Amino acid sequence: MKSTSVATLAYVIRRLFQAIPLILGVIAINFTLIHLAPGDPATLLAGEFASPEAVERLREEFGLNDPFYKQFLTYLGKVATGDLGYSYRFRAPVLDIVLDRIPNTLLLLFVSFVLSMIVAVVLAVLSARRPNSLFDNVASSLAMVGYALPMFWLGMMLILVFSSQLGWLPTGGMYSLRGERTGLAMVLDMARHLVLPATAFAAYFMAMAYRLTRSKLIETLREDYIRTAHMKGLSEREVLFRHALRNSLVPVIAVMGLDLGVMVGGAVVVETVFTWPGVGRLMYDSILARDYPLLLGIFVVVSFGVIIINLLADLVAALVDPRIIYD
Amino acid sequence: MTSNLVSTAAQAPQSAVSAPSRRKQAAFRLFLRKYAENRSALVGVALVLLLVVVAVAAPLLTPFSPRTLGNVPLQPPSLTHFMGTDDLGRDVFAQFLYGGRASVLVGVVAATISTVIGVLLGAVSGYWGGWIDDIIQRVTEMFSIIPRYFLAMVTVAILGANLFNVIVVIGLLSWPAATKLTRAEFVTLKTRSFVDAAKMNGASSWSIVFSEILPNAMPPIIVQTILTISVAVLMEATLSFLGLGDPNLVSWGLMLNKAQSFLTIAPWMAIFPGLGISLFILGLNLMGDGLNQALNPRLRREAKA
Repeated sequence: MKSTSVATLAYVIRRLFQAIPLILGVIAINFTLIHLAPGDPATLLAGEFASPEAVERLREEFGLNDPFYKQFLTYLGKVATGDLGYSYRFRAPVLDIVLDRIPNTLLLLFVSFVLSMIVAVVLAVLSARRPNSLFDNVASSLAMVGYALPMFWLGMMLILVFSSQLGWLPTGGMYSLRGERTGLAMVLDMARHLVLPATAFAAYFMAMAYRLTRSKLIETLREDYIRTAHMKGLSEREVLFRHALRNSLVPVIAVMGLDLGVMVGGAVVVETVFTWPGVGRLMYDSILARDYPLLLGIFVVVSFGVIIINLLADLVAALVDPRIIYD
Repeated sequence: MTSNLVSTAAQAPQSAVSAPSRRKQAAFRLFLRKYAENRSALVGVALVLLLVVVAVAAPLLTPFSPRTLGNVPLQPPSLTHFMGTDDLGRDVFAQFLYGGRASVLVGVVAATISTVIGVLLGAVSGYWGGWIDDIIQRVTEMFSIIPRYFLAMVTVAILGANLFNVIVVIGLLSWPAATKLTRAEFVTLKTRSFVDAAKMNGASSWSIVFSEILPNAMPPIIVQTILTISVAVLMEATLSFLGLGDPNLVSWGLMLNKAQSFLTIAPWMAIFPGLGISLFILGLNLMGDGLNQALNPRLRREAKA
């Protein structure tokens, strides 16, 4: 028991150290982008209509007259202290603006993720139980289609059907203009606004999780220990859920964690279509306004978020399946 | 099915003349038959071919130009305008056809860039191993974890939204899958006897990598390239949708960007370009899966199981 906990601790520390080069890499990419931009980096950061004094102040602040390596260290120090620059459009520090929007995006991501995992796992279990049955073929084809639909188009079609035609759900935003601002009424109002964007987002996750879980389950159901479990006289339900599913889900979550970086990209288009006030919509607005400090700041914050969630997913997987630690 | 397999394999060595080339032909025929047995894979090829042909032949298929302003804006689909007209009276069908060109062009060129980078890095990493393998694996991991779409958006926004930048940025961000795959192939293939034979004949490392191992690793690399095209098509559409595509190029993403403001009054502006993107991506994915199954006997059995 004791040696296990030591091994776990060693694993946690090793994974933490592996995240450091990733974080440095993200900062280096950002630094390179600032310098790749056509024209003077100071002008880029100060915005189009900045006064010469403001540009000069930025040049001073970022040490743009210093040698290259020193500029990088200056930039590194700024990021480390949470200074991601200043948005002239919002007249506020970049970090504050981004952090303000993060909870809304996390809510959307979390609801979509839970929704899609539940639906995907149930469908995958039903499919894997009888591969190539009618049910399996229909579900697998639907997953193939769901995997191919661009989130922003699916979102627009959902608005067309459920908002414009049927009038069941709002077209966008997070709260009704004249809605209640307190208590249960507010939560319900927000939930109504959440249904369509979460569905647009979840379709892709669902398709992916279904495909992964299904193939992993079919593979697992052929293992010897599953046959043993059957022979012990366990019911099919028990074998499927207690044995097969548990061992199939860990690799599924690991693969999905690796694709997280691509998934959060979907937040930009879904939040844009549904005017959901999260980081993604902020990204779109900053693209339109060419607000470079904000664009670069969002990239840093979102990258750090993805790296942290990735790390947590790995640690959870290691706790559920301790074999990972010894690999 | 099994009897076919046996007879094809048995026929090949019988003739003395150029047995290897005959065996290759037989293997290729077997592959074609396996592929043709897979109905969804055929649908995939049909979809992709249809969209590519339609995009290439665009000027022959419509008398309209995608840019010429018309007299009647926001017309619903009719016999003259199959997909209706947009807010400036331009023919949506013509835009749809020409928009396909952007997807095909960006998808193929960007995926080619990604594949070349991925294969080079994966080959070096898998064949030589050691510290260079460690470094390449770390960098690959970094590029698969960082939020690729955010990075693409920031980069295109800063460097300028034009066709060249869009293609290069997508190409430079989509290689990690190809690298991982090529590395895994090289790690397995480099221990095979034909590699030892080439070494004993005094072949250089580079010639072993490119003339001995790479041809044997090609089938999965081709499958991966097709899947990368589908990834690139989606990324191009996303960038254009967000106003980060080439403004001088008609594309499905840009059409959807415009369609947003007219969603309720002119849904045809949104429906058709989105169908184009979805069908193209669906076709490429079905094609990739089908190729994978036809080339990989183990998967073929699993699909049947």
